[in-house]
Amino acid sequence: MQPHHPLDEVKRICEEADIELDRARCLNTLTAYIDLFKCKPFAREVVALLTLDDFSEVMNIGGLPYDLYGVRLPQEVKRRYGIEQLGNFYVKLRISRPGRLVFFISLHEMADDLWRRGGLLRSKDNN
Amino acid sequence: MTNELELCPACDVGHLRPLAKSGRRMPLKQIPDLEIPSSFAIPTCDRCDAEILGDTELASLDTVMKSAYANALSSKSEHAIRDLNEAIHQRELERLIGVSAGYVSKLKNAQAEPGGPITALLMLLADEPRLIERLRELWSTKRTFVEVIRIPEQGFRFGGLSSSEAVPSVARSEGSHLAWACEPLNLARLTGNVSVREITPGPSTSEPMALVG
Repeated sequence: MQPHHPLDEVKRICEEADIELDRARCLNTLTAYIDLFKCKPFAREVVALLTLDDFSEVMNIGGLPYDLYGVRLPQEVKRRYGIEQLGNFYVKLRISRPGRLVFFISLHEMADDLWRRGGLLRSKDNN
Repeated sequence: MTNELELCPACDVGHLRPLAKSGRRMPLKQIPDLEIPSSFAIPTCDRCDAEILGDTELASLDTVMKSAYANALSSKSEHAIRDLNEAIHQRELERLIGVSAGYVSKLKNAQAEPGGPITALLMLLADEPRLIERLRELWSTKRTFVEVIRIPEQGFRFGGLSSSEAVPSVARSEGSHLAWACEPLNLARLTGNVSVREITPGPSTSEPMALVG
């Protein structure tokens, strides 16, 4: 199964254009750990790390297709944002305005294990 | 990014309009539910209620919430200090928690901004004033003082925990001064932080017996 929104295009928009995060479902899960003004740079970094192996499924929310990913963040990235204690991350996004805007409806620590194209990702890695 | 009638990126149907209202909360550092000031307008979808902050609004919200956070710490510190007034003299409190003379007074009168750690400490002490005495003990560089109390019909208490919670072996030995006095000794040695040199039985079984280290 393929993402509804081509990952290359999502990455390009995140790198070159605009992104938006839903306050209640994204920012409110991040601001306990990350300063508000760092949330968008963090989201951009997460997307830059995504691969097709991280893709899980397309979810229909309010009639719109969102791509769901589960991703393991490198320790270096976690350290930079002060979130070493957090597990793997759950990302749900869509291209909202073609070529111009990626909208994140979810961006937070995974609550449950997730099946992805690359296999099962545990919510927390065993260290 | 956000113009007044921008299309909502969450639903693609509604439009984003600045909306100021009360009851919106967000976590910030250790505070899980800090209220966003009711006067702060957030672009909100008139159809799906999604709140979308552009870069400008994010920067403004960051400033506003930092201020709300500082106010929350000040308020919590002030309340804690007022609650502690009955339990400890202000100067003694300053000495006990290792801050300079007059600092607590400044916090109480909102003349200084407290940090998270000092606020956390003050809240804990105000919530449980017994910890003041415990803190005095903990500052000691001598070995830990252990108190064993026998309570008729209830067994024994050790370190604030009942025998059933903490030292079931002590409860089993009830009825024998020698036996129950020894059991805590064993436990004390097991915990590794107690040095016992003397056991002084109280005149009756309901009085505290102290193991002095």
